[in-house]
Amino acid sequence: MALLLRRTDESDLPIEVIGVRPDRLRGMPPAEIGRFPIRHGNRTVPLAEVFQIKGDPSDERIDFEGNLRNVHRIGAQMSAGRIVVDGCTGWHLAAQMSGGTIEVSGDAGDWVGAEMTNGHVSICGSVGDLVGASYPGSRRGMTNGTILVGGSAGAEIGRSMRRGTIAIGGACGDHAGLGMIAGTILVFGSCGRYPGAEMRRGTIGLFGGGPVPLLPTFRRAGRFRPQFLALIERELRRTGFAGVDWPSGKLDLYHGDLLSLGKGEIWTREGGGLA
Amino acid sequence: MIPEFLKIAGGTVYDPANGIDGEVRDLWMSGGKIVEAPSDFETRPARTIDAKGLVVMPGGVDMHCHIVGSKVNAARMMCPEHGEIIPSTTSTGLRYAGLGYTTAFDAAIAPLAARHAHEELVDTPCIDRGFFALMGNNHYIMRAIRQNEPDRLKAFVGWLLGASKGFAAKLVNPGGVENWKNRPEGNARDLETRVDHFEVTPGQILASVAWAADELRLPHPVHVHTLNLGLPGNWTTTLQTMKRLEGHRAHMAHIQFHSYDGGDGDESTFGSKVGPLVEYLNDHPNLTVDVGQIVFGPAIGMTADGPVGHFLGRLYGTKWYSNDIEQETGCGVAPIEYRNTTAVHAWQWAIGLEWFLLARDPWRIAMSTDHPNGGSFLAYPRIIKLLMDATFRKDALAALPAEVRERSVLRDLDRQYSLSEIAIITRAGPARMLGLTNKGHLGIGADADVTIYTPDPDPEVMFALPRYVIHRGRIVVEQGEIREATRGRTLHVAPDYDRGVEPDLQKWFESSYSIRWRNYPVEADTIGESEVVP
Amino acid sequence: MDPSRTVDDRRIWPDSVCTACGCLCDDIVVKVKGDRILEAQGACSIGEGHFLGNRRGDGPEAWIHGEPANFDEAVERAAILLAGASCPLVIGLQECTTEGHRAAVELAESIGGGLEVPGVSATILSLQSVGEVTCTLGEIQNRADFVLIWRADPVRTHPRLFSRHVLEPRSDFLPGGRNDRFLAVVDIRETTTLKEADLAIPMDEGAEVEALWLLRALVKGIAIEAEQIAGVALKDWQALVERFRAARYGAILYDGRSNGLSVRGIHSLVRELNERTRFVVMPLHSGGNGVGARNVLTWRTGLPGAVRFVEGQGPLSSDAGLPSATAADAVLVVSGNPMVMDNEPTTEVRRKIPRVLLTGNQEPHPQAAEVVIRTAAFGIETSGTVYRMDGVPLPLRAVVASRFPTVEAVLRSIEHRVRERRA
Ligand code: SF4
Ligand SMILES: [Zn+2]
Repeated sequence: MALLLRRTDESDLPIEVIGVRPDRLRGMPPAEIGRFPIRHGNRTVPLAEVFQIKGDPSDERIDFEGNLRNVHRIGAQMSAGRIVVDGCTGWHLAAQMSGGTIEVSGDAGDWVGAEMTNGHVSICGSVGDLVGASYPGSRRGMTNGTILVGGSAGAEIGRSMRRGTIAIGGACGDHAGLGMIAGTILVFGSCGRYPGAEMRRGTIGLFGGGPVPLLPTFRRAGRFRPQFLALIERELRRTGFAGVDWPSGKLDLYHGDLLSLGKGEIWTREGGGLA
Repeated sequence: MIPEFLKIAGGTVYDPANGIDGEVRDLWMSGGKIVEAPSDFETRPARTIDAKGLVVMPGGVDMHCHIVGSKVNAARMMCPEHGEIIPSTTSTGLRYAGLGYTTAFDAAIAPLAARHAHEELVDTPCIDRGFFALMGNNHYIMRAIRQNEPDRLKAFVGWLLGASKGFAAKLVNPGGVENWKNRPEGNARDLETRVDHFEVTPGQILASVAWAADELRLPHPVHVHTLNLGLPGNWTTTLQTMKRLEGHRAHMAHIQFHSYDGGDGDESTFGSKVGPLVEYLNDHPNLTVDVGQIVFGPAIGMTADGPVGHFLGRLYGTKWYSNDIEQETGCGVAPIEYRNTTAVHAWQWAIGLEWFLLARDPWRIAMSTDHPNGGSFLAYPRIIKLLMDATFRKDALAALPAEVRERSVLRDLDRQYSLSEIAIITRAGPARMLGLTNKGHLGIGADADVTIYTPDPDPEVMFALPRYVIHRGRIVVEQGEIREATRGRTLHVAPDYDRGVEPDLQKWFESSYSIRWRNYPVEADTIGESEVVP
Repeated sequence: MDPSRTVDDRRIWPDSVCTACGCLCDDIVVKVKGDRILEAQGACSIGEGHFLGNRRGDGPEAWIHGEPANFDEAVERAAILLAGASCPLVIGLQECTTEGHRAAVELAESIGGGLEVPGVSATILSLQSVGEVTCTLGEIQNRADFVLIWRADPVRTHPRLFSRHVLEPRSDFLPGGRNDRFLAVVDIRETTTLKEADLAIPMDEGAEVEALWLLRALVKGIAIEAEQIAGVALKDWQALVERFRAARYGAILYDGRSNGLSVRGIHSLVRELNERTRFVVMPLHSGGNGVGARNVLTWRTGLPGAVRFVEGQGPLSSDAGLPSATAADAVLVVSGNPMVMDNEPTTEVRRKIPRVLLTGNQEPHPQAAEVVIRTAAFGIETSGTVYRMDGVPLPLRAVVASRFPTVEAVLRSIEHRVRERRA
């Protein structure tokens, strides 16, 4: 059976559900779950004060319902199990998670999957900035795992990411893959400015069509049919990432960022790259 | 008014400065001082701490750390991911108290930013504190040397310490930083290197400031971070530096970072040269050292040695902060990760311990990690264990790369520090080196800074969790919990100097500084509660 | 220490600090008669305006809901508002000295609130990712034989910067003063500063990042195949890079309010230039004491930029924390602005939230907030430490007395009332 957490009030104050994760709550008696401390504004309150609680997390699943826009850190640091969110969530969804899956039917705020080390996150709606990114000062963003976003994403997705995959069905903001060390970012809508700035290695696919404004430190390498794409496509389709227009045929390849090592790849649809 | 007394009853006292080595005694304190037991037997203390079976020592004294001021704050801003190593002023004070330390000195403050440092010191609770003022690359000092005017130099040192409300004269890579500011890759590689523009040498700066500090009768002599910090083969410069200081009192800072063999471009020759250096120290009572022990894990390189900051940033490919401070110094900050699998780091670890174990006179070697350069001061209990427990130490050595395991003399050293020796290197010794007659001991008239430990077979456990910590007669830690964040005092000097230099000094100042002469000295109301140390 | 002297019926304050721009010139001779400032000798026109524009504030000391109130009532009301909030926020703080910042941290802690100094997030982010190679102004003054002004107009915004520190001064290292220095200016429009340049590069708007990336590539010797970048011919950029290389001690100054990737680009460029020669970077900050606010906040909490205090925990970072702007349910603004923060992107959201405003402005708007409390005018009626844009701390001395309390006094009164209410 799943544990169902339903938010009933409508207040705008931030709620942080640190530790409310299947791997943590599993095996906890219901009363203890109700008393589990979460943050509400500047206070610490029991989980039951904010959420109606039903069921139990014996099968390592938690379902969230209700107004969750200001509920932050859902699934942060989770290591196993499944979280299903019906609605839109706040910030730091799946941040630093190391395993398990999280599904969101609506939107999510900034820092989705920031510094995650493994696991699978899929969001049907749109997300904020810094998907899979490094926290301030830190050298590495996500180091493994998958983040799939059906809608669009904000700026600096995949900042300093080391491994793993981010796929955005819609558009993305500026500086996608800033300082990326390795890993894969795919964007199926339009893309903001300066993708791949200071990327060392890794792959960024910008498949929205239309011009892609590249930095002068990216160099055109030719027009190829990328081998890796079919593999990823199969993999992502399997996990339910659908409704996007996978490119077929040849793509333009650019190498960069020459300032940082130059082993990164940016792929665009034919004629997309505008240096 | 009848004075209130606090009594620590029946503890086992280690007070090496007064020749007390584990004797059961009572301690009485009042008005923030250690006092005689009241002659009137009727007098009852307001509070008695039953210390039966517990170990009583003076509060710890950290003579070389970096805890305040513009460079530490720049590090806090640059490295939020390392907040644990460079915490807020509040946590710094509380953590020192939590470790049984009641006094600490920041070892590198640019006088131009002294006001900033003092504002942070005021906000650092639970400890008495102060700082050393950087002067190894000061233009006026170099000018005075070139013009062969020792008296002018001496007066300047007096003025500078008074104006900045500093505690001691600090030299960091004398001359080398100025060269680095002046040209790319500029530095000073040996004591005879010429300093651009000033026509002086590092050797002259060392000798002159050491002389001036002696002449001014400063409580703490010149505090020296010499050339070539961290570089292979730097031991020769270190030995030359020590020799150059003959005839003066001097303190050699974080000596571990200056004791390296190698330097011929072959990495495998990197190693320890503690042997000849410690021998020199053992034979020269004018010198003292602190170790600058490293601990494996994250650290922050933080130094007035601008080129070292650049070196570290390049070496590890990390972010790098640098700040050149007009007429005075440089400043470099870069994060470091010490790994016990990296041969150079393993050597650094071993070299620090070699120093502790080979130095004959514990009164002239002080505990330090050069916080946060070698790691946090929170590592002191671990280091104490490495010193007190030879088996633990040898096990740790066994985990290091073969070249260190096999070549370091550590494997043959069985010395184990006694509690009394630990009390010396962590409080009595540093207090004496600093010239703090009220600190580091429990004699009548000493500041009532006391730490009470619960004995434990594991020294790390014992020293990490003091039972009580008393600062100036107030209980800061009780049963291991912080009870009161006391307000500490800033300790500084106010040397007498020849005011006749001021007109010339003012003229020079106003033609070279970006601020006005009048706005340079730090006023008394900026520094909170304070004490002039004679 | 009071350095002032009295001549006839005038009080003369030597070496006073002007807080009207980030230069924080500390050589102003201020002449005062009674509570009127007659003269600010040495100040530029902006500085003069700052000193001479000061008039003794009259009218009520506070307002509640636009109605005049006395100080105690206003403090009480502010305390009720803040202590009752679940997510209060203290913001502003550019216009007070260290004491005010300390009091703000303590108040934020006692109400379990957030604390934010607006602005400069790009500079801090860039510090946190690549670091910063900088110096105090005196180093530029004495050593910089090459200066690049990157999209800033200091001749207008920091009028004495060039004459005091950057261009004119003679030193042992640069005895020829201006003749020994080379000034390059890159900007997108004709500025006053551009006219002074030895090498002026007008570039296209919106192409800063491309230009910086190009410069970095050229400095690193990476060949770039392009005729022009940002509307400037490649050879002109190359000429600039030649100048970089010829410098002994170069300095790049940029507008401290810049954001986006260009700040990281400038900081990286400077770092990379240090592989060949000495180079430093300095953001040009505006007036007030935002630099001090960030410093004090950082040392008191260990965290730069923004923090929040949560029951039972130390300060937490909110740089990467929560969308505090939308989350707050009460805001305390410490500002000189009579209408509260300008250039604040979240102002609209915050307008709906109950606010307390502390302002040293002489004509505050009584309805700018639910509670408006007047404070002494910053930089003129207040003493304490202020931090210059290069981090150099300076002593600020009140040259005239105020009818109103200092920011720190008000904050401490509020905190006191909060604690009393709790007890
Ligand atoms: S330059 Fe700036 S600080 Fe100097 S007087 Fe003018 S406004 Fe004031
Ligand atoms: Zn040091």
